[in-house]
Amino acid sequence: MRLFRFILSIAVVITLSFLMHNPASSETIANVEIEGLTRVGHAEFTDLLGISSGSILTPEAVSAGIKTAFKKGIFRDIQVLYEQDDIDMNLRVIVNEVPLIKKIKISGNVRISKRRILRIISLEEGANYHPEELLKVEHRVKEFYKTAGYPEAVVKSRTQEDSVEAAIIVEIHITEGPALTVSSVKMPEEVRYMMRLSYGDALNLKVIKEGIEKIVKYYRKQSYLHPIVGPFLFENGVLSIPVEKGPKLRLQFQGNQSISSRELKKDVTIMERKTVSEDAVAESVRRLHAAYKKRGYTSVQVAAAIERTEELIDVTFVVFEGKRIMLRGLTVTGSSIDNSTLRKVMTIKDGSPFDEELLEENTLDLTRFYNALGYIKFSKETVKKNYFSQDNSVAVEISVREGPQVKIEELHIEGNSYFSSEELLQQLKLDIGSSYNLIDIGDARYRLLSMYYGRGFMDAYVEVNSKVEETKAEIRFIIDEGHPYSTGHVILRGNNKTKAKVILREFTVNTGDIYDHNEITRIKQRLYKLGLFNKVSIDFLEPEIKGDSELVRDVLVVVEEGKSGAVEFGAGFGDYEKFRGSFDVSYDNLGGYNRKIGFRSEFSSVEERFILNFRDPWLFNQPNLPFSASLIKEKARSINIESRDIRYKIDKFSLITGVEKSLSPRLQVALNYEYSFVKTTDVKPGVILTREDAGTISIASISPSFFYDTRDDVFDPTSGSLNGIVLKFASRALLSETEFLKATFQSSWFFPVVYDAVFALSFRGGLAFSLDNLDELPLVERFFLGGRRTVRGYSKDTLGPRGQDGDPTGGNIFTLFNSEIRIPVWKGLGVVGFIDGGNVWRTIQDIRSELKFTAGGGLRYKTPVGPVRVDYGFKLNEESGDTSGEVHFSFGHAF
Amino acid sequence: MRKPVIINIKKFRFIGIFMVLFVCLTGHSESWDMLDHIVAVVNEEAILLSELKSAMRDNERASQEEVLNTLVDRALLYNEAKKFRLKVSTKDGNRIEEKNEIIREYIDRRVKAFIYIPLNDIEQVYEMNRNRYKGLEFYEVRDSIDDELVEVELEKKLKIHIEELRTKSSIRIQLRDDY
Repeated sequence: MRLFRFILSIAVVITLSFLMHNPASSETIANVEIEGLTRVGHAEFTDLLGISSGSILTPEAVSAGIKTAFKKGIFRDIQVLYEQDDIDMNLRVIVNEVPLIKKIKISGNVRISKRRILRIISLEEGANYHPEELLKVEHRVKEFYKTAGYPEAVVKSRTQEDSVEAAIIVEIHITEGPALTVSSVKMPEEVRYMMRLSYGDALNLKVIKEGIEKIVKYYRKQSYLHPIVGPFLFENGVLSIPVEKGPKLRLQFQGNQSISSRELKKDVTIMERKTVSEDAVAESVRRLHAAYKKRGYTSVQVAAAIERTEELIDVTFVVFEGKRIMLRGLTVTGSSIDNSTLRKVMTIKDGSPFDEELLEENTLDLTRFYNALGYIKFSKETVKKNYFSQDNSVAVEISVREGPQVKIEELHIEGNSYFSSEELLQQLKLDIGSSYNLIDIGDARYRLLSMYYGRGFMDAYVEVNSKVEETKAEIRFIIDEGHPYSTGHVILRGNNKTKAKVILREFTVNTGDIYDHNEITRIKQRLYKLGLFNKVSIDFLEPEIKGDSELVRDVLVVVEEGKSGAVEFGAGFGDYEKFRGSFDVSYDNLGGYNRKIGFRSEFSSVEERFILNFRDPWLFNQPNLPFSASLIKEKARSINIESRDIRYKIDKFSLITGVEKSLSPRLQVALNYEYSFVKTTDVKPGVILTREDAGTISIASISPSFFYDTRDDVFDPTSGSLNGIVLKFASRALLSETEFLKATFQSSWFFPVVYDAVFALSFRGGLAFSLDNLDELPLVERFFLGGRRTVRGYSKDTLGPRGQDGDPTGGNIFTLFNSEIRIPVWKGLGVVGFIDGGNVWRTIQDIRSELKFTAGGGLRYKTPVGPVRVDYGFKLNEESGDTSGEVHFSFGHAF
Repeated sequence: MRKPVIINIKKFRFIGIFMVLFVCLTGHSESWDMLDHIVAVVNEEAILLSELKSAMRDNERASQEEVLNTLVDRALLYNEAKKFRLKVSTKDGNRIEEKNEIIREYIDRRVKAFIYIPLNDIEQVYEMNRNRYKGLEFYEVRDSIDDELVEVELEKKLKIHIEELRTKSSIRIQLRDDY
């Protein structure tokens, strides 16, 4: 009885303890503690892990969660532990993260720079650290030192962990040791200069290797067939490089009249093969033969004679050219398609040398052409060549058998249930009655697959069965739809600096959505467009566990971050400002939010400008709502381009902030606020029109703008148009000292014409009203015309009304017309011809004077950011005292 | 004077045993137990403790290290198989079965397909084991001898292939013994 009670008590205890420790059955999680997480936010981590307070715990889900989170690539281990007290099931997640390399410290290097060592070790600050790499690093640096002549170099590395975050400092200490130094170099004097080692240098194996390669190249250029240089010997500081030049090859040609020996040498491959073997000579003979045949010498004969001495191998190619045969004409018989159409398919031309190889290729082109038209049984029957000895020509007659033209009679779609047959048939873009063409059918199949991939049917398969009978084809597209997959977790990897939010906000396919493969491709393009990543890959992952969740697949986004900082220098030349320079420093990923901050300075003989700018691509987390702010300090001098006399000086300090929004890919609207503090000094008396033209004034304005842009290329458009309007309203309500309303518009059109030439046309205009009961606006706000971007026969800002001393004063209204023909000539070089016309008037009541026209031409040289240009414009309305025209040097098109 | 309380220890003997056992067996309910964690990483694939335990249930005689090594080898082979874009489908769509099938297919194509047993070798085995093939002609046993030799060769080649894969892969074992 006692024994029974004892056994019973043990059984009860074991059962109880088992029940309390078996989380296999689903239970609700009360609390989740997370330890050791520093590299990713809690929300993102728990989302990937799929564990949160209140959720049901199943061991399978935990395992799947660990695997999903691990794919993020920043964890070494994720331990999920559980604890159950009387009431609750608690979880503890202990995360062991892959540390980031915070800093790489290199010490002890004297002869080799830190930058070079960093390149060798291929560790990068800010990248993930894997301990196994450290051993490789030591080995790499040691090998590098050995190559550089320091065989006793000792490399030791260690790491130091950061106490707060998962980051380490890598320390590499180098003891370089003594160098193997060269006291003298023994080698033939004629090539000594190619070995860049001399007395006192370390025995650098890389330099020796490069020197040997150079010497071999040098001798081979001298026609030495197989020079042997090295291997080197190093003894007691003496570096010896043995050189065995071997025999020289002399190539000679006899009997060649139509092709020069120099040209024929290019077809001889003996030098490349480094041997005068029978094979090498025979191959060269074959190539020479082919070269002649290509030029119409159909009966050419080539033979080779070889003579050898110890120092020289003479190879003489004896050529009997024969007669050159020209193609008199080519006809295709047996074809229902006229010969002129067929000749367009063939590249062989009448009157050109008769090339049999080209004729063969052209016959194949003919077959492809017929097949594409549905003549699937097309065949070439015979090729007759009739020679005409009187003028050494040949007439070719190709006889063909077309066979029946097969047309599509029936189209069937099978196996579809998600899309209707009508929808799919429409996408095929194949018509009943159209010719049966395998390329079109292949494209149609791809379009169907693309439709399915767009709706998450990632396993969709389309088989095409064609039944061809005489002239009719029945095509069946047999579809195996598979299952529609939806998107699981979006796992981000590689975004060490960039916040997850910046990537995820570009994702239009979210967890739970249908996995739209076509949209994923667009997301990838958008991520590249952010300019933050060198590489982006988006993969559709296999499910980790079996069951319903198979239809939900995680998406792994792997990015490789590029360098966010950039420093740029620029220099240029313009007719007005002469030499100009710029310096730009920017950082594109401020705080990991893709916010850009930059500083730019520009200098020239007429202006200095300093700009501090900031740009947030998503203001208030709104898509496509970029916000920008700039602080600009500028000093500008308006000068007379001929005399270089100063008309006035402007010191301006501005703050410009604004938002822009793309209402469609082509329509962009923007709203800017500008506050400027302007100081105008040294103003020539004739230029002063208003009280504000000299002295200081603050101008505050808002500028709404609208632009509709259909151009195919912003920098070098060949089609489309740019239409826009910009309003500027300055008011005391905005803290301005002056009030005005200004409007400018632009409409530029680009039309492709023949031979890649482009005809460009542009209308621009502007109108301003002072709201201060004055006729004119302050000097800095007035319109000026003339110069490289407006009316090119006039120098900068010289059109329109002038003051008492003849200096231009600008005005409140302008109109401008430009037309230009842009003709590419050769490679990136092009020419243009243009007519510009326009004028500036003081006020709307002054529009009495005529438009000023200029005509001219220029040269363009294409660069990736628009052309470099030189223009000369002639004045068509030349007045006494005017120059006849102006030259302009600049960058980018005039409009 | 109060009467001293005399406790009959015997009476509480079973309760005592019960309590001691309860504390011993459930004592660690105050501590944390491991549910799952990553025991090995093969390139970019994680192998979990739960997978190891499940594999050990199927292979009770092998040690934990041996089973884990087998899982690592399978992960390596599966990774390679994926590069060949092999596709198989099982009747019930079981993922584990699919993986096994893909690995089998890969071994067949990448290793087994290159094994050739010369006729002389088969004849030699036949001659040396005549007693085993009593009364059977060479042509009758040729295929089965060939199969046996292929299996032996496959085992050798597969071992070499896995070694090659191991040298060019990143493998990290992080089995813990504290849970």
